[in-house]
Amino acid sequence: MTGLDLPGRTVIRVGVHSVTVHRRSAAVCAVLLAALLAAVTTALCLGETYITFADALASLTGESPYDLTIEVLRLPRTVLAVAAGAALALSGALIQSIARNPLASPDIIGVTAGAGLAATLALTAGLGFTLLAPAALAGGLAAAALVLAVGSKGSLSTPRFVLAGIAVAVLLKSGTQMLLLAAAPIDAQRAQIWLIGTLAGRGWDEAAFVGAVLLLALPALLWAQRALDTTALDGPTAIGIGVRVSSRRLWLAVLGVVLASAAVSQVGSVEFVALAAPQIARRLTRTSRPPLLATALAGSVLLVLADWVGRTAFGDYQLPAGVLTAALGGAYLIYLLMTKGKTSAQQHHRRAPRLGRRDRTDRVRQL
Amino acid sequence: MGSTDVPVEPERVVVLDTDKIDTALSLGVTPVGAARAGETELPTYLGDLSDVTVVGTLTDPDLEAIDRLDPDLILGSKFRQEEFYDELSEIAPTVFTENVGITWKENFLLDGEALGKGEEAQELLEEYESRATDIGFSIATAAGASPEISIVRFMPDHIRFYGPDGFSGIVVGDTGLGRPELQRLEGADDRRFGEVSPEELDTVDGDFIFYCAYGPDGESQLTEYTSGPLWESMSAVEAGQVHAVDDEVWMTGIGVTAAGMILDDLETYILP
Repeated sequence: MTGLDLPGRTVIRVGVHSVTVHRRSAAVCAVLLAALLAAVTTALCLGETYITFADALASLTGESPYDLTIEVLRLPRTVLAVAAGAALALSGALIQSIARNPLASPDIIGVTAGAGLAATLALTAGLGFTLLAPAALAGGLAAAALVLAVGSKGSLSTPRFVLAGIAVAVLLKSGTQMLLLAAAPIDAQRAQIWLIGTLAGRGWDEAAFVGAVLLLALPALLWAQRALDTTALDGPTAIGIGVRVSSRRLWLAVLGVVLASAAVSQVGSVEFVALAAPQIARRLTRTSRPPLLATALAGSVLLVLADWVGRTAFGDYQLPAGVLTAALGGAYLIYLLMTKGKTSAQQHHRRAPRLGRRDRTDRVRQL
Repeated sequence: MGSTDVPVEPERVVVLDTDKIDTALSLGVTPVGAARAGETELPTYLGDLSDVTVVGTLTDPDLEAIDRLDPDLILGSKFRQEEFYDELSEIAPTVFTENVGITWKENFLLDGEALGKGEEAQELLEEYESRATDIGFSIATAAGASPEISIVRFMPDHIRFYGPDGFSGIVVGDTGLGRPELQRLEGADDRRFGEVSPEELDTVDGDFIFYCAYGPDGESQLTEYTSGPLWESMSAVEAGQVHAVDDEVWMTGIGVTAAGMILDDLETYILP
């Protein structure tokens, strides 16, 4: 029995079930998983005190003199970074795919700004730390609901959705600025740190919350991976092949918004993970849209590294993770944009030097 | 935030707020570690603090650096470090005070208790209070009436005067000296400080003006406005009764040592 030959894919059959695996994506996932393990190990071992890998392992599995450092100070926030990084990245991938726009992300469509305004309000009004996360969660969801209500009047794949998001985000940000200017300096400083996004002082409670949301979203994410294949098509094509694309887009957007709000409510407005991780994953796997598993892994690696660099690299001044996600993610994305496009164009050139027109069309397609 | 068992005579103390540096040193305990305020360094008015390790900032203390100092007591404030309480209390017994500024005397007594020096703290506070009353009395006697003290602070983007509930306002209040009417903030919800527009700078007049600036940006504001016509038109300026004082002592310090130094300033500049 010879199956359909799909380029770059392998079909795995178990009894009557079969799964098609994109070989490059699988390899990229394996590499990203290894990178994540390396990043987590680094975050656990390197810091103010150097702890050997063996001691860290001993602390995780039993007892060691470093139990406090590993189990209280480093592990909880690292686990939170893995979970929040994955949630933000997945949210970015979903929103970018349905908006069919690589610039769309929870930062752009109002989730972060809504959570930011609510958190600033909570901090400057002197509400306790316990109310901060629920307030931010509610703020993020409310802002996104507003954007979806305005944006879904047309199709979510039109610029209308992104424009509505930007308008709401700008409005909410100006509200945040007003609160910050009127607040006492110390409150404003705390709110600023929250607005940049930090994992300092966060721990198991926050990690458990984001982890639980991810776990609950898992079935939906498995559905989303397949649903995106057709949802990413443009409207007429999708309708032509018989997919009810509008309601699907809405559900995918809701899933993205919930994931982003959950993460942002716990770690603050960590920007750029949601925008960069899907694009990094997409360029590594060379697929047409962000693959979800690779995206989640890339997001986790990015946030774990950003948190680790922030708390170790600058002496006694700890930099909030949000500053570095932008720096690390931005630098890497620029590197990918500059090098990957070039090398594949060169490869094409070598393979078919005379097919000038085809070469050009290929390059246009890659852009 | 719950009860904490603290060692009887803590030796390795980490302090996470500026008032607690003052408290510890006033009671003869040199902390092993201290958090600094924002971008500024540890206060200089308390003398040589080169043995004190800096452990991050007030709002973002460096937990691993604190752990490495192996403290046996951590003093902080709920207002600034609430989210770090769980981690801190795993490192060492941690005592948090609720608020900053208004409640500085209660904080001082509670922190003194935690440092195992409750009685000394009580004595120091009483000594300070009776000295404050004495100074106020001698000033009022010498002048024939109680002069009104104006306190002005130049911030990077605005100008403040301080009311009766700010730290320096409390200290001046303890002397029994008067305050200009505007600065009594009667009926206001927040009586720590108020803001004055640069166009109404001459409303901060008093019999004596004490002024300071927060950070380098505040300093440049200070230079600009204190050479302007509105400033020079005030009666205290014309009479030469206007004095630049240390912002660390009058504003950010907070504690019995800083309070004593404010009394020194009042004595030096007002008593003939």
